[in-house]
Amino acid sequence: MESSGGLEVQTSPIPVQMPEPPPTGEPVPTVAAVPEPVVASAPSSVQETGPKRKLGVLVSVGPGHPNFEHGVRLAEAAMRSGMEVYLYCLDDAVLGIADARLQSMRGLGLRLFGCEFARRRRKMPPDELAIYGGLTMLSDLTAATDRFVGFN
Amino acid sequence: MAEPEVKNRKPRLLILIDSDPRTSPRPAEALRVAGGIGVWEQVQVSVVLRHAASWAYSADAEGLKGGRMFRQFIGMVRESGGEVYLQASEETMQVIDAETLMQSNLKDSRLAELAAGADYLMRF
Repeated sequence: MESSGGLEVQTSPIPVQMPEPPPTGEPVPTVAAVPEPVVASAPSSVQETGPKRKLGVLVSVGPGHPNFEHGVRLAEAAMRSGMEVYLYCLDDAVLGIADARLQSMRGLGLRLFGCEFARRRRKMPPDELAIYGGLTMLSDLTAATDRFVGFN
Repeated sequence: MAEPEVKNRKPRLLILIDSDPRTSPRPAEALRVAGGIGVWEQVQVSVVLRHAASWAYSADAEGLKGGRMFRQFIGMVRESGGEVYLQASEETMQVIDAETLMQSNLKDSRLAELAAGADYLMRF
C-alpha cells in the first residue's frame, strides 16, 4: 500500500515466512551437517557507525505552496535514508499538519512540531496531530540537529 | 554533500528578508522567528532586511502588516547579541533616518561573506 507519493505504511502485521518441512523420505539435516553461516561484514561505508544523524526542517508556507511539497519530500527522503527527522511547521504551514503524508511519517518516527502561536492566530482547535510549542522548540532544533533546512 | 565541521561555537543562522512588509506579513513573521530563536542564545542570529523589506525600518513601520512586531523583535535580536542589517532601496532611503542607514547598512560583498560564514541561511 502506498500513500500518495509517500512512504509505504505498514498497517498489517509483517508476514512471517515459516520454513518449509523437508520432503518425505529425505533425511533431516542435523545441526552438525549444516555449516555455520559466515557473517559477512558490510562495507564500512554502509555500516552503522553511531547515532543517527538528525535533520531539522522548517516549513513556513501552506500546503498549497510548492515549498511545502519540497519540505515534505525532503523529510520523506531523509527518513528513508535512516536519518532522524524533526519537522517544524510555522506560520501557514500549520494548516498542513493534518497532511496524510506527514501523519504517515509520524507513525514511522517523524518528530512533527507546530507553532502554537500560528495555530492560535488561525483559530485552529487544539489537536494531537503534532507537538505544538513556541519558538524555543525551533531554537532547540536549530542548535541540536546536524543539518537544518528552511522552506519558506 | 560534505559533512558539517564539528564546531564548539554556536551555530550561525542568517535570516535574509526581502519580501515587502507593505503587502506581506512574512517580514514580520521572519523577525519574530529571528527574535524567538535568538533570545535563547543557542544560535547566533543575524538578520538582513534587504530592499523592500527595509520598509520595516521606516518611520511609519507600525502601520505595515504585523508592524508592531518590527520594533519589538529587531530590539530582541540585538539584545540577544545578534545583528540586524539593512540594505535600503532607493525608495526606502527616503524614509529611513540617516543615522540608521549609516549604522546598519550592509554592502553586497559583506552579505556574501555573512552568507558564506553562516551554518544556515533562511530566506523569507
